[in-house]
Amino acid sequence: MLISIPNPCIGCRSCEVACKQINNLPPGVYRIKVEEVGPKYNANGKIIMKFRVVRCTQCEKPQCVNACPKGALRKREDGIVVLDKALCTGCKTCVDACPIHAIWFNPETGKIEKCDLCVDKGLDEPFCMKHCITRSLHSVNNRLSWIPW
Amino acid sequence: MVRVVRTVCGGCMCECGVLVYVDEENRVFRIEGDPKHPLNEGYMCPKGLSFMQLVYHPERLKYPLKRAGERGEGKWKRVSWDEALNEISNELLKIREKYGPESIAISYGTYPKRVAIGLSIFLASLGSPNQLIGNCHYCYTPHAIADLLTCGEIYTCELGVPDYRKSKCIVLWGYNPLHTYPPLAKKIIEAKGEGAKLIVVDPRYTELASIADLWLQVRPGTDCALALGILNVIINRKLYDSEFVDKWCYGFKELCERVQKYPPERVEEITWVPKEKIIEAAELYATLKPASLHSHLGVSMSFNSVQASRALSILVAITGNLDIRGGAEFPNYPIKLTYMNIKRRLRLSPEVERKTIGSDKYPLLAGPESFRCLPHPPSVFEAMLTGKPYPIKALICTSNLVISFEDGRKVVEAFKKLDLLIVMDFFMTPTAELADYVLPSATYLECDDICDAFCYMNFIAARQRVIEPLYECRDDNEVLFELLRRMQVELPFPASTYREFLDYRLSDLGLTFEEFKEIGYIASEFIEKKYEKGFLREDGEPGFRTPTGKVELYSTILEKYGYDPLPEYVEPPESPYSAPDVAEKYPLILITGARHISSYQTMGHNIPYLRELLPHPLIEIHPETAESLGIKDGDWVFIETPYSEQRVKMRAKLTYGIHPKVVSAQALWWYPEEKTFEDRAFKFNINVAIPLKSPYGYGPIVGTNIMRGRLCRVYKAEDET
Repeated sequence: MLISIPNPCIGCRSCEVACKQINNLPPGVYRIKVEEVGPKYNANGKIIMKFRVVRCTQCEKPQCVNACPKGALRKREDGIVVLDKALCTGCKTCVDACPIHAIWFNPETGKIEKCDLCVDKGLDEPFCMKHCITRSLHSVNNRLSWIPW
Repeated sequence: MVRVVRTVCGGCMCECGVLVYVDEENRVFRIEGDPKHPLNEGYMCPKGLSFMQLVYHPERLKYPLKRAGERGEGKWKRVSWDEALNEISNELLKIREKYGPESIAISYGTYPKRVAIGLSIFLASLGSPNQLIGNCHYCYTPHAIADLLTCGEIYTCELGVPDYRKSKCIVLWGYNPLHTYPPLAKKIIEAKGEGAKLIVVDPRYTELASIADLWLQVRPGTDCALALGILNVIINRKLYDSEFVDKWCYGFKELCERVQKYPPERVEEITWVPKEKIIEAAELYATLKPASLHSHLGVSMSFNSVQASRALSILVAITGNLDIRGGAEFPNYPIKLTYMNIKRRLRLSPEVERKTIGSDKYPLLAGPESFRCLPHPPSVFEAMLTGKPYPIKALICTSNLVISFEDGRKVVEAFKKLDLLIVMDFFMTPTAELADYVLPSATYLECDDICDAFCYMNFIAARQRVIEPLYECRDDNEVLFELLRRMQVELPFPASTYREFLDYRLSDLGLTFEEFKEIGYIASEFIEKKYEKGFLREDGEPGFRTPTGKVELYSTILEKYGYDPLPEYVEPPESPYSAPDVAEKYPLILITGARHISSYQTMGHNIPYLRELLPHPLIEIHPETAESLGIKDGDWVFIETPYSEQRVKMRAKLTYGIHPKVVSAQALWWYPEEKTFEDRAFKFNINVAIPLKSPYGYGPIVGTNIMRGRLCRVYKAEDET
């Protein structure tokens, strides 16, 4: 029996470090980031603690793609939004355009960083997904639907 | 060509399976969880995932170093291994000749490299009983002794861990595996997903508490009363396993009488846990079977640690959860020479063991009649400082005691009195800074070993050398065997190198280490209720390894040594109730020792990916308390305790997950990047606020120094950033 938990993240933060390892990201630069909410009391007076995972959701109509003046971002047929590093100038227009703040600027490369579900890594699943401690609680486990919250 | 090597992680003591990717130039470029390993099943925590940054760290120790200036002055001379080992063996032989073998001590923590085995063999071969396990007086040992007293096996702490997915109810008592045993937390989360009930007993609202069915916010240091209250409910409502109790337990009648002193109403007053929750927890735990209960530092860092842990051991026993699937599973390894058994085989003669420091005061911890024969750690430092009962002259240290031990200043003072301090490590830690010789250790990626995963039962795994040791680093275990060879000391096992010793350990399987490497890991079948089958006792009879052959709810051993044979709650000696005058100036109850997943003991603060997860040490304060002190979230604050002149600086984290009268300071912090020794080692380290000896001394049986449930005051650090 798999009980449905709407937000199974428990804050182990392996996804952050896994992502940094596979993408070789410097400090302060992410493609996925976990934020702690609480512990606090909810409206019913019950103490709660939640985790919010900030990561590109490969949205239906990506505003970053529209915003990029160089056409460096594009949505592939399978739905994944990818960056053409050769075209990126690091102007950060997309960083400001993303409504969920899931694009980061990498000062070491002068280009942006965003999640592309490890499509170019030759893995059968995103590296963060492989190392998610609550993975068994996610009802969907395919690459594109992999949303860790 | 890219190589992928299957081995065992050494980022902490969990020993998860990993796949390591190595490129054409023999450089590790990826580490990931091994999906086939029975412990972690593909999961990997931040420490394991960032381990490459440790291996290739620019500040890693590269060559043997010999002190060239005053101790701690930071002047070093690079020496060859040959020079270092010859000089060290000569020095050690001289010290042994002049002061006796007992003047030589070793120290290890839960050092994630199994150097404990090499060190134990080393010390026993030299004939000294002073095997200092850094902080054993408030770590795993109180639990181990409590369990051994009760039924001769260890099962409430680290050992006896089941596959949680077989448990219907899981109790985590003063134990936060998400941060300390992440692969076990993964199994707990999965069990919870499949419908198991989860009970968390913790003064802090932890991540696992946030998914628990029941969270008992216990007052620090009162766990014994809470456990006795739960026992009261279980016994008075007849929820225990009466068949098991009748057949296998000794002293149930006396236990029944004792728990009558702890009705839920009184326990609520002591522990601050509402009585309804006490009753609910008792009913859940006793009626769901199999149920597992594990504990750790939350209980063992309190004054009356062994008695508190005994109450937990008894809870597991009378509910019939001993040695069943999903309950407390006693180990059953495929080889005889496990980590534990090696240490059992290294016991010295009673005359020698009687010299173990602390054996006069703590006969169950140290000395010939003790379970493990470990010296009492604070008394070892006293011996270094005062020369009493005899001087300790040499220490081989593979841990970072200046940071990890209480009262770091006293540790430094003690180390300065040694004739010889040898430190083996990856980095120039504050402890290494004080050494005469610093020897560069190889990491798990550079070593062969057999891992009989300490926290998870019934299998052994091969740790294999993935890359040759970098620079001049060497496997500590091999170095210790080499030292013995140069000293011409006879070894207790037929092996002259550590690698030969690995072959010897596998000999009962008819395998060599080379062959074992190909297999990867070997698991043995779990055998339920070994006590019924005569597998536990040395005489082969059914029953338990205790004087009565039964589970001793009433301990005949404690009785023999003049301790209370039944668990009894004792108010912590430094609490608002027991020391109201102290509490006037120091009104808050202090917990030290909360861990974070980004570090393992004192390791991790210089690893960029890990430091980023937690850049500064945090002290958790309730928002109302903080407001009354004028402290805002993120402010730097000072923490002061009675009996210590040292104030400690930390960053305030305001949270409703802690009681307004309690604050929780994170453990084992040091700042590798700071300029002075003082700032590196002491400024941010809560351990230095814990005196080596307080006016009320140490707890009974193992001599615990209180690390949780002391008093403190907290105030804002003005003009500090």
